[in-house]
Order: sequence, then structure tokens, then C-alpha cells
Amino acid sequence: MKGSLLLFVTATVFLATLYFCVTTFKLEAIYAESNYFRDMQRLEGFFRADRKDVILVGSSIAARLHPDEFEDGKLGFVNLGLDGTVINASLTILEKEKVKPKWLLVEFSVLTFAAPRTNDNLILSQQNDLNRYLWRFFPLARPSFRPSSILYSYLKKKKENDAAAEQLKKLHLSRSECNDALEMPKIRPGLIVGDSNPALMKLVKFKDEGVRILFVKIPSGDQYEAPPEFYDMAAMLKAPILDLSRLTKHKKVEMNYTDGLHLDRASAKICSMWLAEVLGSCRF
Amino acid sequence: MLFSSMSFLIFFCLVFWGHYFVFERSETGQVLFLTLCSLFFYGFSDPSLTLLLILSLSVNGLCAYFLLKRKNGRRFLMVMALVFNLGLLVFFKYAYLLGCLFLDPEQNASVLTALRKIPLPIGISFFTFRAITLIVDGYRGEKKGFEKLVSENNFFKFQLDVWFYISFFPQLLAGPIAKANEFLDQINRKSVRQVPWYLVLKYLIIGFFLKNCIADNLSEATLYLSSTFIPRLPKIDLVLLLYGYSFQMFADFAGYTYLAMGFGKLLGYDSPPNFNFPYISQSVTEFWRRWHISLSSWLKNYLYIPLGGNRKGERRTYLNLILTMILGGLWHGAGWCYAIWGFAHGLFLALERMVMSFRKSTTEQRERPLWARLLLVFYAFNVVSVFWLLFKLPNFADVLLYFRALWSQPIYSDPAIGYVVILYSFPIVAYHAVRFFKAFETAPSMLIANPVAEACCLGFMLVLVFTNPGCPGNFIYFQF
Repeated sequence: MKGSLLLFVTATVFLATLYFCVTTFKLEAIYAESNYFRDMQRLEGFFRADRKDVILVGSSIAARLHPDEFEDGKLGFVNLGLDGTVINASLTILEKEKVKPKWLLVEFSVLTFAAPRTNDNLILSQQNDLNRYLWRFFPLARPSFRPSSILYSYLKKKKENDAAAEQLKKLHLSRSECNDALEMPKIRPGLIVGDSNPALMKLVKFKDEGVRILFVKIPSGDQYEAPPEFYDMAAMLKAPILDLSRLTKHKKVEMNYTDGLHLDRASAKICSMWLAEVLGSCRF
Repeated sequence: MLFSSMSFLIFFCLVFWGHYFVFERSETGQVLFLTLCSLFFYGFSDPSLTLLLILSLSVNGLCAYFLLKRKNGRRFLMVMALVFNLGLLVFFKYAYLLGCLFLDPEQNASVLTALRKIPLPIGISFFTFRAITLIVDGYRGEKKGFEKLVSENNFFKFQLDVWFYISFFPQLLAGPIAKANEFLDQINRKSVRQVPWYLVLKYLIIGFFLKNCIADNLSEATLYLSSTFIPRLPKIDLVLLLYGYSFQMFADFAGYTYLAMGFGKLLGYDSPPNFNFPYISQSVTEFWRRWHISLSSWLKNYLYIPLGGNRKGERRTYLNLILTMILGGLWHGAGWCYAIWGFAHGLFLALERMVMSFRKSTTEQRERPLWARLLLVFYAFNVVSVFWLLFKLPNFADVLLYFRALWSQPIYSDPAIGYVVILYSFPIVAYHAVRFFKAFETAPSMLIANPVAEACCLGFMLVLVFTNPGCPGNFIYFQF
């Protein structure tokens, strides 16, 4: 009995100390050591966001872009790019929300209309009311307050280099550059596009509900390029495609990748800035 | 139903309440209630499985009854019961493997497809081994634990005890494989006042910590040990993942065992310990005395010794060792990788025995210098870890791919993989290291000798269970 009591007292003290530390020193994790917890962090961010006017959906490629860069006070941006999933997973999460966003930014890659993966179900199972409740009212249950993720974020932040402010200044887009970056895809003549694709069906529904859709091609080291039939599907939705890869060539900026596929922080920051500028020029 | 799932926690609360507060006055009532709960637990995800378990319980109950009550035809009964149990195991687990071995794939394609579709009932290897233990020990005339069964005149009560022993739910899906005499001895009326709360808490916290905090987090890194990722991983990561998987195996299975011990103890029943610091073993032979103890002692008592053990000369001993381990490997799964895994372990057991027999004087482990002991631990851990690869990569070509990548890949490491493996392996390494350096001399279940330090340590682990769990997943040993 004495041992059990001591155990619970110790656990309470540890819990209180942890809570004090994470709240006082604002030790929120912005990175996680595994795909699953990176996704949980983004899901938590999505649940907890007060405003969800512009939502970026996609895979780990889109997940590297920073919503902070888009933030201009007028609109609430949320990045719902999920590691290890296809775009359909993010769309399924969004579909269950009562309030729809004004703009939906969709990663345009080989994963955009790809068939769902087994990992998708694991992530989707976490979109439940229990998690919503826990993450809102019990901070220590939040993925961004996991001790190991906080430590990982701290170590990772120490190692990475941000894009220099001077460099960013030189890379701002003019109005004409913003307009040129957008392309309207056309269906190849004589081609009939089927609409049985789950992601396509969801996007059609969003469009019917008044959500404006913008496809975004994010640099991925020439990997994961969308096949031609995906352009036909995008054309069917009458949604423009923003080609950030083309902008890198136009601006003669070299993108760097952490593993040949995902943008590093500095490059992601540049792409995020361009995305924000193009959206700004679109006049909401 | 996972031990860490909400559905199990609700189920267990109801079981606990019924066991101690509804049926407190009747031993039969308690046993009947727990047996019915065990059947419900087993059939929770697939109710049709309950029929299979009931079939096994019925046949084994009847065989055990006549085996213990009759004086004639006992051998025939024992053989029939063994044929039934092994037949059940072979049909559900090995039918496809045997089909591939003996049938021409071109002429019997439809048969092979049908065999492939036979589902593998969860925990079948464990409850079948428990049933075999009961039958064989009953036939051998074991006295301890069986006296109550032998003297039981009520047919219904006899069957109930047997059903209860085989199906006891904390041990049903992944062991430990409790011996019949050890378990049957414990069947009596239980009272909530007898529950050792601190011990139960300790088992449950250690179990949840090992499973939720260590194994589930390590599994996020070790999922990269697959044919898709191996060719892209650098050398250091490949080595780290190999060790990480070793620690994950331990944390996952030891976690399950501690939970089974905790939940069993909460209902008044002891489970045998399954692990005794396996990674401080100084040889593969010693490893098998410390890892999955209930299985290795089962294999020894019901396979190795009946095969002749070490009584029929040196060569036959080596053969028996290898044969036992091959069958032990196949027990884990119907695949050649498991047979190879068993053969490799058997070969090392035989080789180590051979080396020991050449040595004139055997140096006691305690007498060896520290560097020699460390070297031997390093040897045993690496051999065992390499063999675990066959569990992670059941396709043998993938194992070869791993070694090719280990040879050809660059040396650098991905920080995320290194971080996960090092961080979550550390508690396991520390746990073994403390024992290795003999910082304390207590029973294996004791974590730390000082009760205050132990309570603090458990409190810290409890906090991590809630704040730092990994991605929820099944126990690895459920697939066996």
C-alpha cells in the first residue's frame, strides 16, 4: 500500500513537472522522430486551428511547407500534408469536417489520385472525438508535447539552417511572375475522364460545395512526377496548377533535399513564400 | 482484443467485478465465470474462432478425464489426444506448407489455393501446447497439481478445471505456456483481499512501458527493415535497425508477459516468468535458458528428452538439439525461414556443446574476467540479433539483400532512425547492464532493490506510458 501510494505520488510529481516545463518554456515539438507522430502533430494542428480558411492537403512532400509563411492575418492556413499517405487520406479527414475551407491547395504529384494505402487507415482511425477532446483539454496528451518529440525537435532545430532573410528578399515574385506560374490544364482531345477515383470524387464534391481548388506542384527532385492522366483529372475539375518547380528554374534557385525527395527547411521556406505570394495575388 | 485497448480495459473491469464481487463465495462460480469470459475474449474479433477453441477444450477435457480415471488403454488415449492436438495445429498452421512440399503445384493448383485460404487462429500454438502439457503430464502420472483432478468425482467440475486451465485468457494468446501442475494447483476460491496490489501495479506498469513506450516506438524505426528500404539505408542505420529489432522483440514479448502476469495476478493466478535478462547471455545456450523460458522448457521436456536428450551419445545429442530447434522454429510459423532460424540456433547449440566438451576444465562464468564476459555477451547478442532477421524478413532473399546492403552502402546515418533506436533501446540496455554488472542481487522480477527508488522509477515509467506511447500495434508473438 505504501509502495503504491509512493508510486502514484511520484507519477503525479513527474506529470506536474512535465506540464510546468512544457507550458512555461513553451517546449512544443515542431518535428517528430517518426512518420506516425509527424502525422499526429499535423492532425493535432488541424483539430486545434481556430480558422481553417486555406488548407494544404498532400503527402510528406507537401507536409514540408510551413503554414507560418502563409500567415498574413487575413486567412487561417493549415498544412494537412500527411507522411506515408496518399492525398485521399487528407481529403477524407477534411470531408468529415462540418465547415469547409475557402481554398483547398492540393499537392500535385504521383500520389494525388493514387489508390489508398494501408497506412492511411491507421492515420484516419486517429481522427476521432476522443483524440479531439484529449488534445484540446489535456495538453500532455498532445503529440506536440511528447517528451521524445520535444527533444528531437530541439536537436534538429540546432542542426538546420534557415534560408537567409537577404536571400528570401531577392526571391520575391512580381505580380506577372505569380500569374505566369499558374497554368490551366486541358483535357487531351478525345479523352474521357472517369470519375470513379476516390480522391477525384471528393474534390468534385468540395468544388460543388463552393471550395476553390488549386493544385500545387512542389519540387521533389524530379521524383513523384504526376502522370499525364492526372492532368486530365485536374482539367476536369477546372482547377489551376501552380508549378513551383518551374519557378525555381525561372528564378535560378537550386532546391535542396534531405533525402533526394523532401525539401530541406531553407528550400521549403522559399517554396512556402512563393505559395503565399501566388495566393495573395489571386485576390480572395 | 489488445491488452492496451479501451475495449480490453472495459472487459477486464467487468471480469474483475464479476470474479470478486458476484461469484466471490463460490470457487466453481468463479472458475465458470472466468472460463466463459475467456471464450468471449477469444472470440471477440472473430466469434467463429470460439468454436475451434471449444472443440479443442472438449476433446482434451474428455481425453484428460479418461486418462486420469482409467487404468486401461491410457497409452492409446494419450496417442489419440496428441494426434488430435497436433492434427489441429498442422491443419491450421502447416497445411499450405505441407501442400507445397508434397503436391505438384500445376496439377493441384485449386487444392493449394484452398489450403492457402485456411485462416490461422490466433494463439493456436499456445493453447495447443498447454493441452499437450496436460495430456502428457497426466499420462506420465504427475502427482503435483493433478491430485485434485484425480480425486475429482464431479465430471462437470473436472471438465471445468481443464477448460479453465487451457483457456485462461491472460495467457491464452501468447503464453506463458504454464505447466498444468503449476496452474491446476492454484485453482481455489479467490478473494479480492488476497490481491498483491503493488506487485500487480509493478507488472502492469513494466508491461505497458515495454510494449507501448519501447516496442511500439521502436517499431516505427524497424519498419524500414524491409526489401523496399534496405537498399537505400546506410550501413550504420542497417546495424542500428538490426539491434533495434532485437530490443523491440524483447520489449514486445516481455511486455506482453508482464501484462499477462499482472492481469493473471489480479485475478489471483500466477504466471511463470518467461524472461530472465536474455541479452546478458554469454552463449546461445545460455540465451535459451533466459529467453521464452516456458517454451524452451516445454521443448526440452516434451521434445528433446523424449527424442533421447543427451542419453544416446554425443552425435545423437547434437542431432536432437538441432531437430528440437528446427521444430521449435517451425512452431513460430509455417515458413522455411522459421525452420532455418531453428536450424541456425540448433547448430550453434550443438557447436557450443562441442566446444565445451573439448575443454578440459570448464571455467565458471563468474570466474571469467570482465573483458571476456563482455566479449561473450557481444558474441551471443550479435548471433541472436542476426537470427532475428529471419523473423523480420521471412523471405530469405531479403536477408541476403540486407547483408549485400551492409557491405555496399555508405557509412553515414539518418538522424531520425539513429535517434529512435538509441533513445528507446537505452532502457533495455540499462536494464540488462545493471543486472550484468551485478549492481543488485535480487529476484529477476525485482527492478531495483531499494523500494523507494523502485517506486520512483515505476512512477516515471507510468508518466511515459501516458505521455510518450508509440504507434499502437499488435504484439509480434500473436502471429505465432
